[in-house]
Amino acid sequence: MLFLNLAFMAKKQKKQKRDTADDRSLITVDPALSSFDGHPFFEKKAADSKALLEKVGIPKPQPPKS
Amino acid sequence: MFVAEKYEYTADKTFKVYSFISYGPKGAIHKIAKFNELYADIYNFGFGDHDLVSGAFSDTRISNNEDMSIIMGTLGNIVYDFTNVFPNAKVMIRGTSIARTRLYQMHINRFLPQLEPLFLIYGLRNERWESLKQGRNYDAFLSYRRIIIQ
Repeated sequence: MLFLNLAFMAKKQKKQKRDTADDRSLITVDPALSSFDGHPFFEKKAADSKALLEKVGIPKPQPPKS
Repeated sequence: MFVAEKYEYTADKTFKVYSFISYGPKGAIHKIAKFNELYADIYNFGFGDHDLVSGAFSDTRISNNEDMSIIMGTLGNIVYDFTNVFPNAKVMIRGTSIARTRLYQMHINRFLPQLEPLFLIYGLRNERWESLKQGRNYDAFLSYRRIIIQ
């Protein structure tokens, strides 16, 4: 009986592992892709968003209601 | 899992820059999305067309490549992948114009049944953040990841 339980658990864990692996896509890395760090196009967008956040703050997630 | 029709994309080695190509009647258009860290774990999501010859970016050009839905699906997948790598990241999304922000909003609403279990999404309205509600217009969005798939 113990053996059967262990076999069942192992099968279940294997299935769970496979399911979660399927749920998470793999990201292809291109080592030649620039990081565009310091690029004015993205720096300006970031600066604008930062200025807005300084003005309005950041929402704090509400804990789930019990 | 986030499922939407998308283009294949690649990331740089920091996983903060993503590249893909839009295909349509206007030809192939190179797109870049970049997450800039504003504060610890708070990122701005920047996106634009990249001219490979001049190196210039544009986020105001209307490319009319008839693939907006695929582009938005790709961006959704990019945010999803990014938050798998950086699970504590909060991502701020806003367009360069009201029209662009509405476009993002339209597609966020379209994908909302898929997004809600994965992200807490706030909308900025009258300079106050509130939980996203359909039918309201927002000036910006901020997403927090709820579930991280291990």
